[in-house]
Amino acid sequence: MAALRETTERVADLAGEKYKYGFVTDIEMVRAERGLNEDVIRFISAKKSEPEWMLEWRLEAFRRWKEMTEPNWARVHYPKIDYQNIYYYAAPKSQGERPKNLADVDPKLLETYKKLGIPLSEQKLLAGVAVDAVFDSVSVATTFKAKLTEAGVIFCPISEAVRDYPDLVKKYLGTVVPVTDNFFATLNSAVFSDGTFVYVPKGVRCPMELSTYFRINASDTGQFERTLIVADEGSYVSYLEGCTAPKRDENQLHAAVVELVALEKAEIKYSTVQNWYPGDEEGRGGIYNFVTKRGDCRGRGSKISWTQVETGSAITWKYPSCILRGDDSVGEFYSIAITNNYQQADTGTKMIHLGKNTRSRIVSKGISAGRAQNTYRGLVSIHPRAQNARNHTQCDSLLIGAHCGAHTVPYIESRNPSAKVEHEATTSKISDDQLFYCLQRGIPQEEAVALIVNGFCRDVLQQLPMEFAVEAQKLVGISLEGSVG
Amino acid sequence: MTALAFKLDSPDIFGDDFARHRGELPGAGLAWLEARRRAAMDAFLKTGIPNRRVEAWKYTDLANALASELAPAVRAARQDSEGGIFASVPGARLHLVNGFLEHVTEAAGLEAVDLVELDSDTPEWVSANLGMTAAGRNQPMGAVSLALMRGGVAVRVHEDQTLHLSFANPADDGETVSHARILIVVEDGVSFRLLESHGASSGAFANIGMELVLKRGAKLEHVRVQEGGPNALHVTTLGAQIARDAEYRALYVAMGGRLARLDAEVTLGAPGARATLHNVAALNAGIADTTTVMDHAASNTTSRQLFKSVVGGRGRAVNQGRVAVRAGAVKSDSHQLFKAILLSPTAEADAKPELEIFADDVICGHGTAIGALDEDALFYLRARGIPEHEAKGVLIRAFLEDAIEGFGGDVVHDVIAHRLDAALVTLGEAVP
Amino acid sequence: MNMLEIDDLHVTVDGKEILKGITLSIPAGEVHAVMGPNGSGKSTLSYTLAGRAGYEVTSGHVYYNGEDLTALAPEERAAKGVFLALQYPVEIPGVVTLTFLKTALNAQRRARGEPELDALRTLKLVREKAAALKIGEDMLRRPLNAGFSGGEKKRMEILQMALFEPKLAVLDETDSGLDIDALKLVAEGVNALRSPARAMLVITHYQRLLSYIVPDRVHVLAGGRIVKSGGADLALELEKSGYEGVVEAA
Repeated sequence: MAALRETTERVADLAGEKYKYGFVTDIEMVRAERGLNEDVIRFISAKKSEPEWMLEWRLEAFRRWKEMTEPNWARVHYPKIDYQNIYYYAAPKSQGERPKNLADVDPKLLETYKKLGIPLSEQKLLAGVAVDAVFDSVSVATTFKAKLTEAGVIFCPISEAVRDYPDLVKKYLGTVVPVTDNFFATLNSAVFSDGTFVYVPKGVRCPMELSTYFRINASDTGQFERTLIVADEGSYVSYLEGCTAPKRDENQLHAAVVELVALEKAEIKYSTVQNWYPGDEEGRGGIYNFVTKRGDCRGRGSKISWTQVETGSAITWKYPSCILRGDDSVGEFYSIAITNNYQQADTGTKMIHLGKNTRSRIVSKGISAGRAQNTYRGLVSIHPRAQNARNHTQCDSLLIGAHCGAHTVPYIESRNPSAKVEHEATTSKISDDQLFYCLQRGIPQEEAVALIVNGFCRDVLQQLPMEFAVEAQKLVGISLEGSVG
Repeated sequence: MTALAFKLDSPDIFGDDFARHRGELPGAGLAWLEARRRAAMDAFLKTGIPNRRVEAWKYTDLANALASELAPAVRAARQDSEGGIFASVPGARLHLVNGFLEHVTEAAGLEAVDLVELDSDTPEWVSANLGMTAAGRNQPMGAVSLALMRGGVAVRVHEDQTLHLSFANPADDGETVSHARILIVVEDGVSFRLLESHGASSGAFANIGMELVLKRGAKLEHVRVQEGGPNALHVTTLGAQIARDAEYRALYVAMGGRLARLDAEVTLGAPGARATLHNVAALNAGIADTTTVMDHAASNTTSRQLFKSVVGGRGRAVNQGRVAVRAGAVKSDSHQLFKAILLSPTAEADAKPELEIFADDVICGHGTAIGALDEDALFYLRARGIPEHEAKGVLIRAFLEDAIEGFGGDVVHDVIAHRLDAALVTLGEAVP
Repeated sequence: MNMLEIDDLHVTVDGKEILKGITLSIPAGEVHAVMGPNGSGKSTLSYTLAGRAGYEVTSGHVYYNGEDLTALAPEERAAKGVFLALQYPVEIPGVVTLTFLKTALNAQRRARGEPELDALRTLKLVREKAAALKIGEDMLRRPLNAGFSGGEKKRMEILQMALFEPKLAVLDETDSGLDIDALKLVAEGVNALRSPARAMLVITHYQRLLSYIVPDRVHVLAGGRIVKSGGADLALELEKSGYEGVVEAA
């Protein structure tokens, strides 16, 4: 579109400003020594005042990790990670002791959160959202604790849960994602720094959306958060994970583990709007996002749904999955994955049908632009005992421009004759006709692309909690700036 | 054949064979052939005999199914020239036993070269094409079929006609392997019907590498029926090159054997190239694996694939179809549909419809559906007086019909329908 | 000064010259019709006026209220009041019609420095205009043009014209594929927008539409050139003797 090249160039000039969260906060940090060995692990454990059993758990994971090799089957290419050249623990120096209330929090930290638009103070909060903010490796403050305590909901950093609710943690930690599940999960088990713990008691509908913001600030530091959410019988909880990271030239590693457990008739809704720094237009810098997320629908009639909007990170490797163990359980996966410039994503889901009358639904929208590579990798597996299992998968790819790639690799395995598995995939592009139509109606190019792409993603955006749907839509537009032209 | 525990490394039976016998293989001394055999062997050795850790063989563990000692098959003493299942269709005939060409009927406009006789007088169209496909790194069994080829046939077609290509591997105790190559070149504008059958008597391990070269405007209609005995081990690697405005239409029917795999790679090399692949699997034991790669290497190319499987007993049907659209191959139009019906609680269907797209102005889609027979339809038939067993057969045949119709003409269609009916009777028996 | 002045316009598409020197002026307040056989260059003219990529002006000029129109991007032309109703309106799946209308409306207002309308006011405005064209609420809530019949798509185009209030409206074969009732409805919509401040260019193959939208001038386009111009009765003459008669005589 020659006539529009000028417009595109003007936009490209602004590219430096595009990722508006790319600032760095100048705060003195406390770090463990560089590299990974038993001493670093002890250091981390000591910093968090962990009980002996937790330290042992970590050390055992570290021993197993040393024997494993990094997986290489995904369609992502990256320079070898030097695991000994990373800091595995970083915390703001001024947070030596846990703050009692917001007045105790380092004002510079609070300012960072303000810049990010995260409302830490109770007055400015988005109606009814309890926010637990994680600044690098340490949770800074938890708001709305009182209201949740009243409902019996436990929502706290995992480091706190390890000390205050050891029985709960011991009961569930590592039961959905076993320590040796995969290379990055094992690494995480050894060095996880912080994360969220949620427990919703029987029959309780969590009175508000729970949310956690993560931020990777210190350079050369990996972020290894660990999240565990347990919904007891008949309970409901909706949780949102949002992330940002500063712009730097070197890559940063993010290897998280999320475990969800839904007991009988319980429901967990887990949404992620991920906006890690994707690297610049030349492919420099950016986050390596290697995450293991799994939900266990343990109880009869339980339900777990994953909704994600992934627009950042240089390399994404994640497969939020559901194990449909309980009879009548339901698993859902809604995803928008956008890759632009030199990003690479190999992401998807696994739905494992074990129980009877289980249902799963997958809607995946992949958008690829620039020179990016976007791969959907999914597994639907029906075990011989999964009587009457039902699955429907819709996976659509949108290509913007002639230099990117969109790939779909679905594995469909059925071993029960009464199961019905259906899968559809389409590939398309934004047609010149659609674009011209919008232009002629006065909608400038960037906005037109955002409009059309949001239309493409509508099925998934509808699944997000409302406040975050709006942010997600904006994010979609920002991620695709400069992609058409 | 003894059942073997899962092996991590297969003994290097093929490497050994090559090292010891390469000087005696057909065409030894021909520089072009030796170079290709060597390259193929190197390609094979990168993977070895595939086991389930090789991604493309994830559902079909070949290494585990083979004996640890496999001697190269020798020519069969008695030459039986059976008519094959398509005997009633007029046409030329080529019959291979244990991978050696044993019977040729001539026809005008058809040149056939026995690959045992490769020498310096071999025509240029053979040396230009033999071993150029179905021998690469991503098709290790095809590669070894070229490296260790001991027989086969090259065919060039100048005039419209039909050819029967039949294979027999007389039963033995599973300790021999035949490596054979087939090359078929269809000249510009020629319409050619290829009827390929693999008899039910097979027992040895047949490893075939097949190359189809369609020149400009050529049309090849390929019907392939593979029936194997309960011990049949069958791997065919197929490479098809489709030129400008040429069309390849194929129906592959797989009905049994311990392990049968068809590994087809079709390259749509120039604008106007089209390919339609239909695959039908009906089995109640063993593994029937059809894995295809459809390579849209040029703009304005079209492909359609339909895979239908009916699996009973302890059978496993595997369908992997990767559609790759290269950068610049705009206006590629591709569609795949995978459907499977499972008839027993121990049957399994695995599908992996893969898309690898590097061009934006394309239409690519695929769909998969795996399930059981429609209960409502079954009830309707029974309510009209049709006994359950027969009703199931009716529904299964209806399910498979759109996959087999339109290939090879009425007589061919009827032969296949008849064969499928027979196979489905046993399937029905496996239904609890 | 005329609202639209086309002066010896030559346009090339895909290396082939389609418009071979068009000269045409439309003052504000008038409706001009351009008629011609297939392949005469009608759509090329409308796309060139809207600024579609691939339509290269090799010589000549197009002035819109004295400004060189060809120097502007399509969305800039739209903000300045140029509207093209397409012959084949495009479908955009997943984009709700109402959302699209609000986005376009506000984008144009923004470009003109006018305050944007909020959702409630947009909805009210849209509903008003939609009622006259018999466009129901359910159509507004469906994705743009998805699953609409030919007539519904054309009515949607006219709704947008009513909403954006352009100064120059170019209607490209708006009557194609419509039955009499749909045609009447569309024509009513267009006539309701005639005003002294507005100019319209109606491009059509058949005379039929022009019985309902009576033009002030009719131009015949053939082989990339305007071969004859006249009053409204020229259209009737074309209907009687066909294009051949008129084109040959030129």
